Amino acid sequence: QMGWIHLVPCLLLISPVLALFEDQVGKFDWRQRFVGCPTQVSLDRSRGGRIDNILLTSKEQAVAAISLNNGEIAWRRLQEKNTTDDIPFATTEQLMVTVTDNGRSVRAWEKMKGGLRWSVWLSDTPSTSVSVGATGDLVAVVSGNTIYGIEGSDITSYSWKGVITKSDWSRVSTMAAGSSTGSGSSLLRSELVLVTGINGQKVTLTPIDASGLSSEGSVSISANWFDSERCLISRETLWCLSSSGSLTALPLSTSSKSTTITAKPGTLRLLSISNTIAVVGEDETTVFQLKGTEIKKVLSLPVAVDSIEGVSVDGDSEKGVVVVAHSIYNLAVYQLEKGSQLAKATLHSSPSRVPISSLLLSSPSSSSPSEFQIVAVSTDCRIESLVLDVKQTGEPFIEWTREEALARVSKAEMLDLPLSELQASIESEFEGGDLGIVGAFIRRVTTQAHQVKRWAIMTSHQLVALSSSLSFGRSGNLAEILGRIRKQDGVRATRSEPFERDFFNTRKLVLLTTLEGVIYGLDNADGRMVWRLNVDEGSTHFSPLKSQLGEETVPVYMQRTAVHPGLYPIATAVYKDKKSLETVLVSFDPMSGKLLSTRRTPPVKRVDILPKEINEHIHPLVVILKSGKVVFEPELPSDFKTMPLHVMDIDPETGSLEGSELSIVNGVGSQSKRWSGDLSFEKDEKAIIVQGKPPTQRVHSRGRVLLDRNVHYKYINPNLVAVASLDEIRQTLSIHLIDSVSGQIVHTGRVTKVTGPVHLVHCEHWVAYSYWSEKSRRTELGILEMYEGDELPESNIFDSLIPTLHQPKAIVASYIFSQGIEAMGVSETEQGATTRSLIMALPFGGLFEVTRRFVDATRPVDFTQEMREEGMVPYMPEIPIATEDMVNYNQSVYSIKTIKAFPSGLESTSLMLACGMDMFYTRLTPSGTFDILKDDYDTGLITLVLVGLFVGSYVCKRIVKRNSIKAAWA
Amino acid sequence: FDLCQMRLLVLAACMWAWASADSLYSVEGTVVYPRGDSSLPANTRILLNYGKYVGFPREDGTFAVNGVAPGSYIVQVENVDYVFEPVRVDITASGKMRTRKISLLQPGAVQQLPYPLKLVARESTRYFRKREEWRVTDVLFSPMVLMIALPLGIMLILPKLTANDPELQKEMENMQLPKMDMPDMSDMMANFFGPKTTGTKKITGGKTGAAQKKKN
Repeated sequence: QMGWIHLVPCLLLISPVLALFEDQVGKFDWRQRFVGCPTQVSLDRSRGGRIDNILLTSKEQAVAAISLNNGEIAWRRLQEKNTTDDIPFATTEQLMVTVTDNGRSVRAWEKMKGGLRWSVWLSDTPSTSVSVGATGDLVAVVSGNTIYGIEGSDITSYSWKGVITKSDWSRVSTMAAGSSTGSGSSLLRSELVLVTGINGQKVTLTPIDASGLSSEGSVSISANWFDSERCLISRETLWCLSSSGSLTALPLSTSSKSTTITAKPGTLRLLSISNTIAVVGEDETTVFQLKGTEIKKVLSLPVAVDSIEGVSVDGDSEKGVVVVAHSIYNLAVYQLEKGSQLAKATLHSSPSRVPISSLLLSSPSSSSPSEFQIVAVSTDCRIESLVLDVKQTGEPFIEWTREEALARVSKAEMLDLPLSELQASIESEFEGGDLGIVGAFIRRVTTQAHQVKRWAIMTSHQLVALSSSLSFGRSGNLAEILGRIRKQDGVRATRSEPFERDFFNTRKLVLLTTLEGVIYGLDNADGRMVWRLNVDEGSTHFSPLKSQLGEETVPVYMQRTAVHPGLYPIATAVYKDKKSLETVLVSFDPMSGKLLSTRRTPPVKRVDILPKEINEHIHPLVVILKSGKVVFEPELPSDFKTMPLHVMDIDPETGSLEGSELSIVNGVGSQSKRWSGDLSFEKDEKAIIVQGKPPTQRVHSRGRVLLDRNVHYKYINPNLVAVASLDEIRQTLSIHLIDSVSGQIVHTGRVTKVTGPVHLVHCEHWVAYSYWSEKSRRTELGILEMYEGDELPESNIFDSLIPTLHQPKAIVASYIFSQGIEAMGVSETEQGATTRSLIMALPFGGLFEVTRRFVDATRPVDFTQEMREEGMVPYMPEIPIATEDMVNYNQSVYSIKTIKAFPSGLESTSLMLACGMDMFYTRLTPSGTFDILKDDYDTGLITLVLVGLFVGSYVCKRIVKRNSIKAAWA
Repeated sequence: FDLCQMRLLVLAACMWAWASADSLYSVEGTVVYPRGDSSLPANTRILLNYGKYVGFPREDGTFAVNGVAPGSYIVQVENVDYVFEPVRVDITASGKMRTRKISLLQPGAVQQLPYPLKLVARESTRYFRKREEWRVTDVLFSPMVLMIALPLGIMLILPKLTANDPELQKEMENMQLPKMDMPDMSDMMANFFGPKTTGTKKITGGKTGAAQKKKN
C-alpha cells in the first residue's frame, strides 16, 4: 500500500493538462439550465400584488421558480427521481408546499429563494391520489384515503391525521382569505375545506382547522349530479358538468345549495376569478358566473378555444377580464362586465402551431391599466411571456421564451456547417467540367474578383462595427478601448453571419431531437437557438419510438451533409404516430429547420442509413418493417448494387441472437437469416446496454508498443457489438463482445456481486464500463482491451468472415471510482491520434474528465525504472478525482443522460455536449492544444517587441550616422 | 404437529420479513457551513447513494432524509462552493444507525463517527489552476538568462581584470585549450547567404580566442 503513495507525484505531473484556468471561463463553453416540462404553474401573487416569479413543478421532478421579468430560473430544487408522478403544490403568503415521492413527503419552500422551511414525512406507504391545500400556517394534504394536517412553521412531523370515509373523490380547497366577493353567502369559518364526493350520491364538505377535521361543521349534500371525472373546484365553488351538458354549481358554504343550469357539453376550465368557470365545447366557449343562487352566462364565444384564463380587475370578480387563446397564438381579451372584446392580437412571429396547455394572466398594475402580462405554456413545453396592451393594436410584445423540451433530449448530433462562400467557390471551381483555356481563365478571374469583393465587404463591416463600438464609449483610457476592440473581436467570432464553417471547423450546428416532438438547431458557439421544428404541428399524435431495450428514442439520420455546394443538406427524424401507430419519417434541412417532407410507413422494426450514396449525394434510409419487408427512403435506382448489409437482433430477455443479411440487388432489398446464437441468459438476467461502434470512428495506431520494442496489435473490429447484461438477483454483470457479421462471440466476461447503475463506452479496441460493487460498496470502473497478438495482420481492412491469426486476447483491469456515475462518454477527434478521455457526469453536478492513460488495462503493477523512463503510468487501484478536473468547473449540471463528443477540424480538439436536465457544451483537449497556439499566447507583447526593435534599430542608425558625421567634422 | 409448527415459523418469518421490508427510517444530521454564508442551504442537497434518496437542509443546516430502507448508504453533500467529506451510514433492519468514515481502499475498516451526522465543510472548492504571473525574478533566475548572463559577465569583466596584469594576460594566451570542432554560426550563415568571403579563417581564429577566454 505504501508503494502507491510514492507514485502519486508521478501522477500529479500528468494530470494538470486537463485543468482549466480562471480566465478561460466561458470562452469555449456554455451552460443552459432547464426546469423541465411544467405540469403545474402558478403566478406568485404575493408581496402586495407585485408578481415576481412563476412557481412551477415539472415532469422532471423539479420544483422551481422562474423570474417573470427575464425568464431566468430564480431557483430550482430537484426532487427524488424514483417517480414520474406530477408534483402537486399549494402556495401561501410565503411558502410553496409540495407533495413529492408518491404522496409521502411534504416540503415547504420559501417562495423567494427556494430554501427549505420544513419537511414532513407522512407515511411509508405510497399513494396515487394526492391533493394539497395551504393557508397561513396550516397545510392539509390528502394522500390516498388519509388526510394530514400540518401546522406551525418549524416542524418535523404532522400535527394530526384523519381517515376519509370511503369516497370517489377528495380534494382540499383553499378559500380566499377574507373574500367577500361573489355570492356573498356565509363562508365556512375555516379557510381550508375538505370536499369529498361519491358518484351520483352526495358531496360532503368538512372544514379543516389546526386541530383536525371538525366533524360537527361537516355538511353532506345529496348530489345525484356528482361525477368525480367531471368536477372541478374553483376556490369557493364546486362545479360539475355532466356529459349531457347540465352545469351544476355548489358554493362551499355551510348553507350551500346546488344550482343547475343547462349548458352545452364540453370540458370545464378553471379561471382565476372567484365563482366563475368556463365551459369549452366543441364549437362554443361559454363563461359562467355564480351570482347568489343563480348561474349567469357572462360571455359566449362561437368558437372553441385552446386555452382560457381570466383574472379579476381591482379585486372585483364582476369586472373580470378573460384572455382566450383561439387555437394558435391568436389571443383575444374580453371584458366580463359587458361581455365585449377589448383587444385581439395574433402572434405571427411565433413559429409553433401547437396547442397551449396552460395560460397565466396577471391583472394589470395601476400604473399601466391596459397592459396584461400573459404566460403561455404550450404542449411542447415552451414557456412564453407576452405583454399585451389592449389599447394598442398589433402584435403583443414577447418578453422571453423558454424551451423546456430541451430538458428531454433524445439524440444529439453536431453537424458541419456549409462551406463558406470562399471555400465553396474554390470547390466549385474545381468541380465544374472542362471549359477550355478561355473559359477556365474567365472563371478563375471571376472567382478571384468575388473573393476580393467578399473580403472588402467583410472588412468594411468590421470597420463599421469597430467604429461604432469605439464611439459608444465616450470616455475611457486606452486599456478600455483596447478591451472593447477585443470584445468586438469575440462577438464577431461567435455571432458572425452568415452561418458558415470557420477555419478550423470548430463551429457546428447542434441538432437535438427531443422526446416532446420538437427538434432544435443550436449554434455551438454560444448555445443560442437557430431554429426549432415541431414535427407534428397541429396534431398531438407524436410519440417516441421504443428501442429494443425499451428506451424511448427519436433517432435522426443525416441523409446528406452540408458539404456539397449547391445542394441543401437533409436530415430525417423518425417517430411514431400515437393514433395510427404508423411510423413517420420527417425530413428537414438541418441548417435552416425547414420541413422538407413527411412520409408514413407501417410500423417499423428498425431504421438505419445506407453507407453508400445514390445520386445527388443522398444516403438512403433502410427501413425494415415489422412485417419483414425492406423499404428504402428515397427509393433506390433500379441498377443500384452494393455489398450486403448485416443486421443483428438480440432478445434482451433471453439473450438469443439472430444475424441476418440484407442484400440489395437492382434496387430491391431482401433480408435472409444467416446465423443464430445465444448468450444463454439466466432467468433474471437482462440485456441492459447494447452498443456498437460509430461507423466513422478512426483508429490512428494499429498497435501498442511494448517495453521490449515488440508491438501488440489491437483487435479493431468495426462490426463488434458490446452487450452488457445484468442479473439483479444473482448480482452478476456480464460483458459480451459479439461480431455482428459472423455471429462469433469474441469475449465474455463476468463480474460478480455487482448491481447497477451500469454505464458502458465502446470504442476502438476497448470497452469501459462502470458498476456498483455490492461487495466493496463502491463504484468501480472496468476496462477491457482486446489484442490480436504480436504479428501484424495481413490486411489493413478488417474482415469479420476471415478468422484472425490468433484468437483475440482480452486484458482486463478495474479501478475504484470514488463517486457515482450518471452518464459516461468518450472524446472523439478527427484522426483518433489524440489520447482519448472519458467524461463522466457525477451526481453532484460535475463533469469529470479522465484521460485514457489512467483508465488503461495495461498499467503495470510492478513498476520499474525502465517503465518510468518510458512514461508509463503504474497501476493504482483508485482513479483520483480532483475538483480541478471538472470540465464544467462551477457550472454544475444535473441529471445528465447523454454525453457525446464530436471531432472538430483540429486533431487536438473534441467538441463535447452533455444533455439531461441541464446542458453543457465545451471544447475538450485531452492531450492539450498541441496544434494551435495557446489561447493565452501574447500576440500583443510580441508585436510590441517587434515594433520596438524596428523603431530602435532605425533610431540607432540615425544616431550612429549623426555621430559619425560629427566625428568626421571633429 | 411438526408441520403446523413449521408453518407457524414460516408465517412468523414472513411477517418479520414483511415488517422489516416495510419499515423505513430517516437519516438525520446537520450541515455545518463556514460562517457568514447564509445563502448556502438553498443551494445544497444531501444525496444518499448518489441520489437514490434526497434530502434538503433547512436554514439552520439540519436535515432529515426520510423514507430510507435499511441498508448501507454513502451520505454526501452536494454544494458548488464547498467540499464536504462523504460518510457511510448503515441502517440495520431494526433501525439501528451506524456512521463511519469511508475508506474505499479498505471497505472493511471501521472508523466510527457520531450520529446524528455532522457534515462539516472542509474547504472551498477549487476549480481552476492559477496562471503563472510574469515576475522579474522569474526572468532573472531562469536558466536561459543565467546561461547568457554569466558568460557575458565573464567576457566583459575578465579582460578588464587581466589588462592590469600583463603576466596573467600572457599566461592566458599561452593556455592550451582543446580546439573544438564546432562550425562557426556566423561563418555558416555567411557561406550560406553571401558569396564566399575571404579571410574567414582569421575571424574564426579570433573567435576561438574569445572562446578560450570564455572558458576561463
